[in-house]
Amino acid sequence: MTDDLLDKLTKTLRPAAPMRNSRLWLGALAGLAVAVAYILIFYHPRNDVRMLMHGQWSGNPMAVIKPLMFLILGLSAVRAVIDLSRPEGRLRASRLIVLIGVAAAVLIGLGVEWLRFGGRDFAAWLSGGVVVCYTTILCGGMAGLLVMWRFWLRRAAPTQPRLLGAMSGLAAASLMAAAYALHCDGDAPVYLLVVYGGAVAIFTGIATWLGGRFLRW
Amino acid sequence: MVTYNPDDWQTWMRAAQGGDAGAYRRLLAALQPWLSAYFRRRLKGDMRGGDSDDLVQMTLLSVHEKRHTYDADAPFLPWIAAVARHKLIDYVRKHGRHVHVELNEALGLDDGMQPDLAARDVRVLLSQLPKEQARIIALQKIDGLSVEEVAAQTGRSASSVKVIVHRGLKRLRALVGAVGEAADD
Repeated sequence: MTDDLLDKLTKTLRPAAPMRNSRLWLGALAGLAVAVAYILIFYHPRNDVRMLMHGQWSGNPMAVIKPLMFLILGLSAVRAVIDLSRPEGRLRASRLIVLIGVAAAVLIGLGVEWLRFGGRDFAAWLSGGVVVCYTTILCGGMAGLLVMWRFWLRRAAPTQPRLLGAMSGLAAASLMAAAYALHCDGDAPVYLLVVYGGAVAIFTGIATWLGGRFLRW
Repeated sequence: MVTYNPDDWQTWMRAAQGGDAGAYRRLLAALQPWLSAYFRRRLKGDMRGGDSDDLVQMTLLSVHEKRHTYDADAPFLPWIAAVARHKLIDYVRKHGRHVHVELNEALGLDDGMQPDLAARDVRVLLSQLPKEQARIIALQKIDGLSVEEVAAQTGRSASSVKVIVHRGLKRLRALVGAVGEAADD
C-alpha cells in the first residue's frame, strides 16, 4: 500500500520552488508602496507630512513617530509570519517585544494625558475621522491579506495556523495603518488606542479566525 | 538503536525540490521506517491495527504537498520531525488515541535526532505551559530531581510540587489530544 503511494508520488513529482523569504519581504514592501501611493493621491498627506515632503519641519514629532511606529510593528509581524510559515517554525519572543513596546508607549501616553487633562478632552479627540480610519485600515488590511494569501500563505505549512493568521492580520493592518497615518492628524494617545488600535485589533481577530479555518493542512 | 542518515535525506530532498524523481523515491523509502518507528514510539500502549501505516501515509502525502516549505539551507531532520509531530497531533485529535507524552530526551534520540533537537521537542511541549509550571516539571522529569529537591529549590511544599506536576502533565495531554498515556509517574 505504502509502496503504491511512493510510486504515485514519485511519478507525479514536479519541481517545487522553495518558499523564499525575500518574496514575502518584496511583497510586503510593494504592498506598502501601493498603500502609501493610494493614501497620498486619494486622501492627501497631513500638513506636517506635506511640509516634510518639501524639506520643512513642522516641529510635530508625531508626524514621523506615528507612521514609523506602525511600520515597525508591521515589519516585525511580517518577520513573525516568515517564522511561522514552515512546519518547524515557532514564534520568537523578540517578535512580540515590538508589539508590547508600541502598546506600552500608547498606554503611557494615555496615562500622561489623563493626568494632565483628566480625560475631559477624550471625547473631542475621538470625534473626527473615526469611520474613515476604521474603514481604511480594515479594507486596506483585507486587500493586503488577500494578496499575502495568494502569494505566500496558501503555500505555508504552519503548525499554529491561528497564530500565523493573527500575525498575517497584524502585518497587513499595521502596514495599512502606517500608510494611513501619513494622512490622519489624530495624534492623541486615546485616538491611537481606540481608533488605530481598535481597527488593527479587530482585523487581527478576523485574521486569527481565518487562519484557523484556512491554514490547516 | 537504528542509525539514520539525515545528511543523505537533506541531499535527496534538495534534489527532489528540483524535480529529481530518483532522489525523491530514495528519500520517501528512507523516511518510511523512520516515520513508522516515530509513530509507534509515540502511540505506545494505544496502537491499533493500521494506525502507524495511516500516519506514515498521511505524513508522506504532506511531505509531497508541502515540500516547498523545506528550506534547502536548513537541516532536514527538524523539518520532517515537525511535519510528523503535526500529523500525529492531528491524528490523535481526530481519532481519540492516547499519545505517549514522554518528557525524556531519549525518545528523540531513538529517532536519530541530535540531542539539541530532541531537547527542542521537549521544550516545544513545555513551552505550552506557564513558565513556572514548565520549570518545575523540567526539574523533576528532565533533571531527575526528587519531589523534595524540587520543593527545596523552588520554595514550595512537596504536595504543591506534586499537584503542579500532575496538572501540568494533564494539560500537556489535553494539548496533544491525548487522554491517558503519559509520563505521570
